[in-house]
Amino acid sequence: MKVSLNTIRKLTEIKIKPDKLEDKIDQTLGEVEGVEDLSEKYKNITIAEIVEKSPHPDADKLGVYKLNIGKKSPVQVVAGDLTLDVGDRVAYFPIGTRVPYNPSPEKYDGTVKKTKLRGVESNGMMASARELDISGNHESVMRLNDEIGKQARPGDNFADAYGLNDLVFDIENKAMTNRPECFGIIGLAREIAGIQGIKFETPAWFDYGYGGKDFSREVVPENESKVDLDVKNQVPKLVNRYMAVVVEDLKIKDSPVWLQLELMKAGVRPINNVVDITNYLMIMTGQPIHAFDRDKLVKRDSGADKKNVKIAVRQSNKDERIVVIDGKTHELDDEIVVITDSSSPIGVAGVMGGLDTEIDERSQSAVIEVANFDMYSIRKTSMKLGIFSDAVTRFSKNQDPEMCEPVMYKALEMLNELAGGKVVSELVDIYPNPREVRKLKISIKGIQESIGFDLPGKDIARLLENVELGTEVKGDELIITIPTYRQDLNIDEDIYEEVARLYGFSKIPLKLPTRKFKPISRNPILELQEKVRDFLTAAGAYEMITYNFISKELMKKCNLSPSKAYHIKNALSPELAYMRPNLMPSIIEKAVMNLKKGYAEFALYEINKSHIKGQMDEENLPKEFRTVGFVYATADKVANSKYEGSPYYMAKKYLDELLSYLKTMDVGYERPSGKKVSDYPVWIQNAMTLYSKGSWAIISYTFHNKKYYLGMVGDFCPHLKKSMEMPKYSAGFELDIEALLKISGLGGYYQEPSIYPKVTQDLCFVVDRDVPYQALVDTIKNEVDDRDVYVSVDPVDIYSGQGAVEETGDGQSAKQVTIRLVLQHQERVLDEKEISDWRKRVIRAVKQGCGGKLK
Amino acid sequence: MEDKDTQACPRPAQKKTADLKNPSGSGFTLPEVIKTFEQFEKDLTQIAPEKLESKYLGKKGVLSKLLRQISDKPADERPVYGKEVNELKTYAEEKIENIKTLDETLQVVTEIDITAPFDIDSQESKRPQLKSEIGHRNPLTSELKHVLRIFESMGFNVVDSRQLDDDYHVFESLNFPPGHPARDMWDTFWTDDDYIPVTHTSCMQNRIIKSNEPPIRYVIPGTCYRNEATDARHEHTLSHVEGVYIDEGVSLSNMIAIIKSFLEEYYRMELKAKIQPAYFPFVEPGMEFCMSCPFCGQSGCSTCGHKGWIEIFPCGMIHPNVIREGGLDPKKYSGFAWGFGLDRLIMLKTKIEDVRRIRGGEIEFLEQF
Repeated sequence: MKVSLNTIRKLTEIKIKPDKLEDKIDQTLGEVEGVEDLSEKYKNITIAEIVEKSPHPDADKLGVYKLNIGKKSPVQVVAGDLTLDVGDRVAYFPIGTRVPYNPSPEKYDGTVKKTKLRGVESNGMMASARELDISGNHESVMRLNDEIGKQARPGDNFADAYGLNDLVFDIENKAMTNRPECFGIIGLAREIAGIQGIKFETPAWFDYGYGGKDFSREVVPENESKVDLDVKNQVPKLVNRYMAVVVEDLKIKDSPVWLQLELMKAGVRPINNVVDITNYLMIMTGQPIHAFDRDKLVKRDSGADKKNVKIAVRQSNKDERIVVIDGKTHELDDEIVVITDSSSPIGVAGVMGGLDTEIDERSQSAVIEVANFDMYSIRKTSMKLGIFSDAVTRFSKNQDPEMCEPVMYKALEMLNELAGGKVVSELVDIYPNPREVRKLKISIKGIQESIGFDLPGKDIARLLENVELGTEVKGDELIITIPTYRQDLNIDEDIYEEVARLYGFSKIPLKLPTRKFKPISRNPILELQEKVRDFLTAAGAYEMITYNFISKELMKKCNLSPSKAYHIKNALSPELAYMRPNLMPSIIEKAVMNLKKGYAEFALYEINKSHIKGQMDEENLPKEFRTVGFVYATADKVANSKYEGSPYYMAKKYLDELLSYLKTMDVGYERPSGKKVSDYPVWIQNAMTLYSKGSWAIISYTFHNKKYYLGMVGDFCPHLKKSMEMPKYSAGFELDIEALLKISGLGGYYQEPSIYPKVTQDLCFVVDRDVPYQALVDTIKNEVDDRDVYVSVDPVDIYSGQGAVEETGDGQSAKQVTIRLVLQHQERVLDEKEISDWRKRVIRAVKQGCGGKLK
Repeated sequence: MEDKDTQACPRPAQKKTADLKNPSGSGFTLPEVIKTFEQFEKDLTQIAPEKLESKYLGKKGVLSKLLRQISDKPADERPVYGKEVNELKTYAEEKIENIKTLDETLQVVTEIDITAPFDIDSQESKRPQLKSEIGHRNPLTSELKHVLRIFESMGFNVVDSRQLDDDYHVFESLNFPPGHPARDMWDTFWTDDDYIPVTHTSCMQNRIIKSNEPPIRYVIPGTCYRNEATDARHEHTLSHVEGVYIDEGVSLSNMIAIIKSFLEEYYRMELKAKIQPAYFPFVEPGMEFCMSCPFCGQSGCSTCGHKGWIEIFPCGMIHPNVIREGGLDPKKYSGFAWGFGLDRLIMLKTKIEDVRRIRGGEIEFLEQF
């Protein structure tokens, strides 16, 4: 909202410096987004009187004028406007003046220079409205023939005379969404008074807030009705009030300069007197007004005679359309409120008028509409049609229908004064449910508690009275009378805010709350996530945070079914059309992107949530699966020489180390089998297709004899690798964070360090190829489990080559596993015999448990 | 679940071009073709697809050679010979292609030992190792850790927000009257089933009030979503940190003091506070907390736009309707709430120009944090 300080000054005092005022507005109303200094813009412009007019000797289209600029001798200027007369007052740009509006700064620096036009000297320029940046009029010189211009003496400063030594504040109106009256300058002025601690008084013609006032004017004849005006409101739920009247004898011309300047300061272009009056009153009050050309209206209306006017307010029909005044055609539906003649729309109610009833320079008679429409209906229509007019901005904030009446009368008065308009019809007013003045009873102590310090009751009352709220102190209570335009004040808390705001939020003394010194209980899930991040980051992985949105295409490329994902019905784009059912595709996508950027080997991870359609939680809302996804990728050129074997083992390496860091209880890696699938958690079932058959595993653990599933680890499916362009050496894992939390900290027994030497034994077993490595290790560990002896069992080598073939005679199904056994006694040195016994026990156990033998 | 779904990885149906007809299992009748076929089948499980290709399909490959030998055959044998060799060639091409695209050697031949620490026959130097250099965290989570640590030290519990929620928790319980502009399609995403990717982590407020006894002190980090076009300053996905404090006699003065204390600890300097009014349906009064610019000490810099102030914390006293909806008596209890964008906090601190980089996943970006 643009607001001029001089306009405010006409309504209330400004007793602080502009920069302080800016600061205060910032802190109580809304951010001042810009300040324009008009005195700079209109510097050095002088009021001049034409004292002599003569034709140009060599040019028909130019005139030579002598101007009195308050100096001894007049100055001569040449101008293209031949319609000026001696005695006219104009704004004169002396040589060296910067013209306020320069349409082509690339060609012209905007400074007035001494020049000769067809041989005749011209010293300066007479200003057009366009050059003054007031309107688009550049055909003629702007006459200053209003009261101010006439009373000024030639030579007076133009800016001084017309109040242009002024600052225009541009106030962000977002914070005023629930303050419709602040979308009018009078409402803003009331606030500006209030925040300075000054009592505001609304001008009498607009003082409607407490009802019971008569605003009628002489301009409206009591009984005379030359013209019938028939108005029907068919949608009273969406049109709170509808006032209309017919005016005749209008003379369309430019508005007086002061009015044009008021519009210019508010950022509205002057057009003609009638339109300017409607805009001016909207700027001042927040009440939009529309003027229809009555002659055009009756002419287009097949159902009317050529004099009387029929208007209906109703909802549009599906096959209707309208061309509005900006020239655009809009197809309507059956919900939009329109103003119609007896058959078809002449305006989109509260949004924009129709083009074919627009006021133009030939208009003589008008139907003036001052109405109030439902804010939600207006907002919906505006969104639907994409029209964002000044009227929409105001109506969508819930304007007060009570103000229609004073605004209508003021409009008629101004139309009469500035355009000669006379009322010739009845003043129609359809207003079924008038607003009422309300009272609120509120505890003064409550106010003090809420703001946090003891502001005395009388000070509170004064703050509220400054903005014209009625107050009465009764003991500890304050009775507040609320004008109809303050629909934002309903409950005690609204008054707390009003008091705190008017007092100044920033002046409130600060006080930290007192609290008991009880420790908070930390969120174990978030703590665990931190630990996972700590480990993976330390182990060289990069943490991704990717979008929760995913495309159908990416899911398909990763073998996931889009039917399991929630679809966003108003997505920004197809790439963002689903909530992801699993983290891995997004991480894989980022891996591919980084590979393409030249990163040849890296690990990525993300901790986030995913959603699987149809899976509900205990609140019967979409279940949120919280997982950590990990991806390792190595470009072929690196992997070929660096790694041997399946990339599965790389992902498993990270996983094993992570679990060891988190001190989880032991987990098992099991080969997924068709029979067990329905036992797996849904999120696992849903993501199994990410991995390559034969080289992935389900990770499970048993807790209190019940089996739980932690997640998956695996080499990625070749189909996925191909469609995503993932390299051969890429694999990953995904773990359920909640399951991980259950087993974290449960493993890793403490072993008292021993001072006795360790004994290392490498044992090479030949076993059937189908015997899992883990089974072999478990067999050995079970055998050597001893309270006094510390034993570690580690792999050295796993080999399928020639040696194994010889031993079993069936090379195809045998392998040779070398295990390093480390033994250490707590209390003594192990002797040869003991070591040999240990060896024998292990060998026997392996033979019995796994059918293997020592090579 | 049906058995067919247990197939971990989809693969194309086997083509039946050269299916089994005779004991050799090949359908071929000519001895030299059968011999080549058997050799090929054996090689298939042992030789890498690239080598198979050159051995069998190359210009000097086995099959090309076989085909050239057609001229040595008697004329009446030539059609059968040519047909069989060509069939074998087609068969070999398909098989090799299958292996190349689906890596069938691994699929069919090797069911790896999933319990082992490394693959069979891999040399020690070529086994998986953790990376020796350190990785990098995303600035969102490292900054959040810093933020939460401060709030925890001030006595706030932490619970993270849902991502997908219903209208009641996102809007209705937070005093958004029906038809409120913020509920419009304009700002909010909706799933087909009318769930909402949450527009703010305030969706947890009602749950927190319902499940706790005052004093209630919670910080709620989480991801939220806004349906608006993205550019360097706007993202559809954001990280928010919301705070809620409800107790008897909580005042505006308390709120400003707490936010100020947090920011002073976060920036480790004394700051000035300025409050601007703002409107949010779930607070009354609603305001915007501005801090004096910690980057220039109000001497003017590009971060604060030479204004000396940075708007950072939308906040306000919790609307009594919200407290009531949570099952507490608003006459007895009052409280405040705030919410701020983690992304913005990071951008202010690190001078990241484009917010989209934070979730962009570029290593080049992450390496710097």
